[in-house]
Amino acid sequence: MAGTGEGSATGSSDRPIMMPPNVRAGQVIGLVEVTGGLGSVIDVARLADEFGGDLATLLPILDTAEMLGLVKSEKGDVSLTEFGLKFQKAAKHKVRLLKDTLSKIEPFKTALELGATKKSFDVRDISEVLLKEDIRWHHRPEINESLIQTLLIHWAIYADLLAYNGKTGKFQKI
Amino acid sequence: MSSGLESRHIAPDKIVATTGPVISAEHIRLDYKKEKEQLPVLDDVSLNACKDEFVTITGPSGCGKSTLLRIIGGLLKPTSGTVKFLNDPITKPRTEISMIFQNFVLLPWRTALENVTFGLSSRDDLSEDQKKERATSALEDAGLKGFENVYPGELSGGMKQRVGIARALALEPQALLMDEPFSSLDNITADHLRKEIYSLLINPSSPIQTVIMVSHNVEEIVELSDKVVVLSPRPAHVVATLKIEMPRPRNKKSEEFFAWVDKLYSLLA
Repeated sequence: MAGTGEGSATGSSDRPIMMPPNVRAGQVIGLVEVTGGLGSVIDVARLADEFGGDLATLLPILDTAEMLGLVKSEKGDVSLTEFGLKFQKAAKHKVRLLKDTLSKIEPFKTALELGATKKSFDVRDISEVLLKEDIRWHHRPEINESLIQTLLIHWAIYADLLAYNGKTGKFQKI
Repeated sequence: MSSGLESRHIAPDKIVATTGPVISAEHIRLDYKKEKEQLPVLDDVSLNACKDEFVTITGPSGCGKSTLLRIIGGLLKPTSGTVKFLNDPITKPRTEISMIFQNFVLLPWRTALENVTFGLSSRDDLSEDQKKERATSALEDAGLKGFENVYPGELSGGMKQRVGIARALALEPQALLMDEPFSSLDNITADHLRKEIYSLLINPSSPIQTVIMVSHNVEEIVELSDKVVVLSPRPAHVVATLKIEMPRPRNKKSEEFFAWVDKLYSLLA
């Protein structure tokens, strides 16, 4: 998967783009900072070495960063895209730069569509809509909902796309 | 997180001019009593942390680093020796000194905002509205704007530690103690958080005058510390006190950085 430019999620146009469920915003920020700090092109093995040789953790983060158009990875070499460089240099509110990109990726896309028609909604509302499109992260409904909830909290709040109230379990479009 | 940790403005009455150490530990000894035996843990440990100094205590696993930090924070009484804050003996926890823990120590049934506000419970001089305002501001400084009503169970490890940092900052402490604050986080998250934390804690507008951290991560120590106190295996005594004078932000690829890492490894091995 290759980045296609500023703020553009990559993927085939006729298939939904799904956010990897276990990668956090802080990890992507960390990856971009380290990649940018190490030079223009860096070997994946060297990158893994920077993070204690933990390839199992690194690869999904790398994949997510690539999906978000922040890095490109070719034949084991990783480099920042132009958008990735801008992201790296941003002093703060980095995830807000991903606002447009995230709004094209599930489950954020559906959450924003729901938010446009309902004042507030919970993860079950989103899950029901996504299941009609056969979009799921796990076959067990309770785990699927938990993964969607985590994705929304860990990305959409940072990106300033959604507000969330843990007491009611409800999201709202900002 | 994306907003980054941001420095806070300090109330003028919080600024305390000092020429001596902000915190000093003098000849600390701690023995645990086991039936009729005495198990020595700390043996004549002395250190001090001056204004704008980031001090790290390191040593082999189980040598008593965290125990020493708890004594400095007034959470534990030494068998003998004295800990002073601005020359005033510390005999119990005090509001000028905050602590950040390795495992976050958050109350799972309280939201992020309620956890931070809870840390202000003992501040009778603040109204409930003032506590809430201060907690909200501390969460924002810690990069968690928008997460006020989220429960700890819904946060990642990095975010939980940010709540811990916000809780410590809300007290507007003059000394901050951190017990392996990054060790529960994965390398990537920890690396990112480390990059932010120094400038948040040590800057002209921060009320924090000194930071004492416990860590056994050598690269982390060289990246953050102005001074390193190396302890021996138990019963711990001070093996060396090193002053790391390198410009910041520190280049982890520089020869000087590697030299300090080597030196520390040689002292710890």
